[in-house]
Amino acid sequence: MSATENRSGPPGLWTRIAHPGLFLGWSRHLVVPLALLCIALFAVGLYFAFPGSPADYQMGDTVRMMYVHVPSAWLSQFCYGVMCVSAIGTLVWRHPMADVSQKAAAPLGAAFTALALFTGSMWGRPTWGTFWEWDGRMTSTLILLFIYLGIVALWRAFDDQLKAARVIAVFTLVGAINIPIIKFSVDWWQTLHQPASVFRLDGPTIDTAMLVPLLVMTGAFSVLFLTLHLVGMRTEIGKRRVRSLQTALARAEGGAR
Amino acid sequence: MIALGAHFGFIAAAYVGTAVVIGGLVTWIAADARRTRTRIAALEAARERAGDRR
Repeated sequence: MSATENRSGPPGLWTRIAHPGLFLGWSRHLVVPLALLCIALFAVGLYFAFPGSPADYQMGDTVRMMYVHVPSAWLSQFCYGVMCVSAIGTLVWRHPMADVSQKAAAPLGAAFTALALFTGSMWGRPTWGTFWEWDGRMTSTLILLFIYLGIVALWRAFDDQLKAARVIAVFTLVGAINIPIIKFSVDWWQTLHQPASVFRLDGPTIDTAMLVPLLVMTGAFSVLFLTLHLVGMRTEIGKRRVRSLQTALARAEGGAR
Repeated sequence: MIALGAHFGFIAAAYVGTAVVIGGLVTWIAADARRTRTRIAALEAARERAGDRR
């Protein structure tokens, strides 16, 4: 077999992911199964969150807010992780899908961070006696929301999306310093917020009856994020196609005159 | 139906707020996707018409 024949074979996995046209092809088949999985996980998760789990012996039924608060907080940081990996893809490999991934993730991250702050304040009032406290965990999460909003605003400020992707990638990586601050704030400073109780070296300290709804709801939120991110990326590729079609059409009309 | 005790209002607000944010995100992303697909179809049709005129 000649070298030319080798090159004209089926595209490799990396090429299928990297090429926007091929990405649109394979990702189309994932949207509906992911959406159905998400609905099923939410149905099971909500069952376990209410009739399928007991009230906490100290917090009572307010513990049920954990099943929406913790998944939102998890996604607020996971989404930033996705943006950091995409930012590295933009800066190091100039990967076209990395730019698209960064842009599609930012509004999702902002929404889940706002949700984590809102559900946290709803949980805080009956358990701590206050909606808000300027402690390490809450303040650093509020800063994360501002970083997300800044990134969303930056995307809208640039006409040249390639230049925007590089500037925002640097900003995203600098802002990543806030993620370990959020994670360890409850260990470093005196705070109202409890320390980690799921991801611990000595294992979770939550009873199984509450761990199950928490994990199912976290799975539901995570699949929701993946679905919305995938659809958002497909739309962003479409918007880039719109811009190139508009340019081509303007050139064709200019040439026809 | 389970009773949610004295803090029903806070629990309901947390879940309703979550539903509103998630519902808003899903609606916005689905509408944006549909709008973009319609725009691409219109522009491709316009490009074909421009190609026919030449």
